[in-house]
Amino acid sequence: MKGTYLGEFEELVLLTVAVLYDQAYGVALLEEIIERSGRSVSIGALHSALERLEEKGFLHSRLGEATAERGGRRKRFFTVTASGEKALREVREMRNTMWNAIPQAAFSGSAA
Amino acid sequence: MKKSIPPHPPFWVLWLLERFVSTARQEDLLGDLYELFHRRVKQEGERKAKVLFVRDTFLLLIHSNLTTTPTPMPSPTSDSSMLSHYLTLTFRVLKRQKAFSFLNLGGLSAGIAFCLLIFLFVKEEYSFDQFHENADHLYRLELINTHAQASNSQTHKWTCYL
Repeated sequence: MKGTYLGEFEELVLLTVAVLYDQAYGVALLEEIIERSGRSVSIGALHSALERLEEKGFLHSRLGEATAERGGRRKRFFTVTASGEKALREVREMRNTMWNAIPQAAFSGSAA
Repeated sequence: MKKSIPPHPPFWVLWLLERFVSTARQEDLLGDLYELFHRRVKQEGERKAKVLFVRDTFLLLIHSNLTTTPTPMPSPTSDSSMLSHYLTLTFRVLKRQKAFSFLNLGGLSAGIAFCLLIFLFVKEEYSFDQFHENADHLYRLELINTHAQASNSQTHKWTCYL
């Protein structure tokens, strides 16, 4: 296993799973990500990321109900685990300290 | 209104998916693809939905953590892990089917025993008179006198060089 580093797209997926809470399955996640990020994401890329996150222990999945339009196949619902939440918080914490460390002059320098 | 067969994804793509998507994730992955397909049929038409279904399939199959590679058959000669299992099974069957086992193994044992006896007999027959100088030129002649009285019939045997 490649450790528990959280990639950029993985972070996006993990956040979306948290947003959708108990309705987080493939198609719903895909539409939510496309809507919120404006990227064109394929269902394969999404599921690949979900698989990686589950392997890292950030996600937990269970099979839900089947519907007719899915050809009688069950949905796989994802939920964020405690370590997933911890990873998300750590990423945000690190971002915040980095933002706070940026001196005022760094961004306004060229404009002023 | 004309009622035709409901739109479905191309079968060859389904075959690809069932063949290459890992079995653990096959149900929910195919379910998601179907759901997307049926949504797109409503929103963008059947033709576009099929094209996108094919595209999504290939974009899915390039992710190695969602696919499975067929494992080669293990070589039977190098794999002895089943051996103890086979032995256990053999003895259980022998115990359970006593009559059949007796006939089967008894017959085989008798057959092998008689083959060995025949081999020993032939070997002994061939061992005679091998001390002669030209033993491979040795033949046996028999003369049977059938004209004599039955009780008096004699068999004459000579061993000679030809």
